[in-house]
Amino acid sequence: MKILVVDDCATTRKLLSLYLKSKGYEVVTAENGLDALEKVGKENVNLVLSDLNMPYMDGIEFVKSLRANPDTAELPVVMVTTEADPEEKEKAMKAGANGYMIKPVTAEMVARNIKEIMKELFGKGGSSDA
Amino acid sequence: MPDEMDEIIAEFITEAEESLDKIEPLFVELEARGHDKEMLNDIFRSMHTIKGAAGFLGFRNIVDLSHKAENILKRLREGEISISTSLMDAVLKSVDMLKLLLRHLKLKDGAEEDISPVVILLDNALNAASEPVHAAPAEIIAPVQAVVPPRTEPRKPEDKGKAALNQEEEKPAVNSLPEQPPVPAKQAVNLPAQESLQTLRIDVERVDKVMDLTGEIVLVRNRLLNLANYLEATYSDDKNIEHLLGTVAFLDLVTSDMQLAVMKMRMQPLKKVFGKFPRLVRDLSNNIGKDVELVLSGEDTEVDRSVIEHISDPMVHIIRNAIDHGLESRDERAGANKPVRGKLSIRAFQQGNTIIIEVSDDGKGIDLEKVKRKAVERRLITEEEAQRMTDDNAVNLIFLPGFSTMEKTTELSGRGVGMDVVKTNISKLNGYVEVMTRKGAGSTFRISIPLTLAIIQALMVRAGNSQFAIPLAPVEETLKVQRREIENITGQKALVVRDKVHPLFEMTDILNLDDRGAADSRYVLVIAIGDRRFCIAVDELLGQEEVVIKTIQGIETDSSFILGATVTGEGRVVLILDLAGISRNIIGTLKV
Repeated sequence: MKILVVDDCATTRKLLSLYLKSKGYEVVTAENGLDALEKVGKENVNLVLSDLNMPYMDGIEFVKSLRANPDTAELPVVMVTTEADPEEKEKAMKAGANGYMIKPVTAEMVARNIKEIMKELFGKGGSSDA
Repeated sequence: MPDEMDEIIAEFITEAEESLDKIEPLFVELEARGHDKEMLNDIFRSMHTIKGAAGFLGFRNIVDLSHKAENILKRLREGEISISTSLMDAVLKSVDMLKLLLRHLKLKDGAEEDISPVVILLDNALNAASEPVHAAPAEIIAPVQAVVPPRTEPRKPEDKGKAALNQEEEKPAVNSLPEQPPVPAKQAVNLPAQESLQTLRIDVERVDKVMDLTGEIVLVRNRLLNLANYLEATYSDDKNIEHLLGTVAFLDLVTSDMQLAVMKMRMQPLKKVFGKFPRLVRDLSNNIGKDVELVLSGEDTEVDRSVIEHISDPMVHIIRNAIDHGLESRDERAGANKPVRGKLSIRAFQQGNTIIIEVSDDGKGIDLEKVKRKAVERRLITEEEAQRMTDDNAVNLIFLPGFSTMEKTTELSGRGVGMDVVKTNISKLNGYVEVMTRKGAGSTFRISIPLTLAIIQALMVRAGNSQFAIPLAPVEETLKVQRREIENITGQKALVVRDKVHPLFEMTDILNLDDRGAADSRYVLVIAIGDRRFCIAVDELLGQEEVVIKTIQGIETDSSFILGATVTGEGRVVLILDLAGISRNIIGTLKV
């Protein structure tokens, strides 16, 4: 299981990937949407955990681009939304995200959500190309 | 917390500590510059990241504290409140507390800290700052100013993007993970995303182990070189000798390269130490109401990590002294026709195989008469000695144990630690410290430290029946002289080298050896320690060798004149001389 962590904050990327690795996942990281699109093209990613606000290409644009490409149209994306702002979540879901986490994000929350979303998505037969 | 989290927590601590170390000097710079939105944003972002990461790991105290600090920074950045000394004091206090909390996490001591006083301090400072402007006439900008040279690292495009924008933080409270809003995508986009692949964090112990093993290989290499040369003389007909010599020569080369590579692994920029000085100077000078400008340079100079660890305390002491005793008060400076703001310069640079660190002030200089008087009072020297003493020697009296020029110790310097401790700590790094002072113009403390601590080039010599290793770096030249050329000036031996008279010492005298050589020709080493030159006479020069310094437990370096021991190519254990110690203790007290 390979997870792509997209966040413009280096510390967040590092902590998240260490944590996910400790949970047995493979992890790749990207700094923004553009960087992430490149990574998705190169690596067989099974799930994306993406921040929303990032320079160059934000999370919304990134999901839209993923959905526009047949190869990645089904790739599960969990968006970490900025605040408890319903509009943000809605925008993310409308753009094609499969789920969202509201900040502040804790380690337990990440583990629980990923597990749930995986179960839900792959349980239903939705699958990435991996 | 489960075990798997340990590594993540350790990572968080390291990251957070690095961020705090990075922003601390920025606060001081900020105070000097006044409002600087970009710098505030830098600091804000670091604080925001710490908060987010602490939230991720569930460290409530750190989240609460960094949230408070972040809030102040946000309002500063938006220009809603303005920078004042008390506000900066409060924020810096919170940085201190964050560091303390991190240290507890690191030590896993489970100790609790009560953060509420700092929280209250932050709240009060924020409230005071938020009040209408007319209410607070007291504080303007702090007197200290740090002139930090422009940052050398090119800013990443990422930073630019972030600096410009900040809607996100407008929203109320507790966002955990940091983020920045999108930026017009016109900037260059290729961001290197592999920082984690290109750097590796390694336990210091492992690096030290490699260093130790490299030292052993150096010794074995030396031994092999010796054996091979010996075999060549005996079995020159044997074809294999040639192969042996070739192989050993290659080993020689590779070992030298390896040594260099391992040495570089241990090098770190002095920035790690210098980074805390702006804050230190700010706090110290604010406390005693002096006006001090700090100029730092050469922070990128790399030194061995043990130097990083041990240079900080001596430097802090020298800085305290400079601010407390060296620099004059505003009034005194004005009276002496000097700029009211005192200047403290700290610079570092590499000179050959030596790292030089200088702390200079443009204060009143050291009062040598006062120094001598005090030394006589303290029975460190006699009245006659004081009268005959040169200025150069007088200034070195401050390094004697039990010396302190202040009649009463002030809050700043009065910590029961004297310059002798500075000297001792620096000599533990095989370095030495000198002072240059000019009345009315200021003083410079110059610290010289060898680039590498573990392996040095040494000159092997014989004195009497014993062999010694002498660090090569301070040896300026070697001469062969006849006994009669050595002069005797009022009981002190001396040698004229190119029209200059240098004091000369027999190695056997320095070390109190009984077996003195009787040979008529002497080999003389001209040694330069700082500005001071002297000669050491030995019986024989045996050659140059790369030696690994092994410390000897229980030897008090400063009085024994022994730096350590090493094993020679022939497998002999040989003592390494401490030239700086000799310079200080024998030549330093010389009454010439």
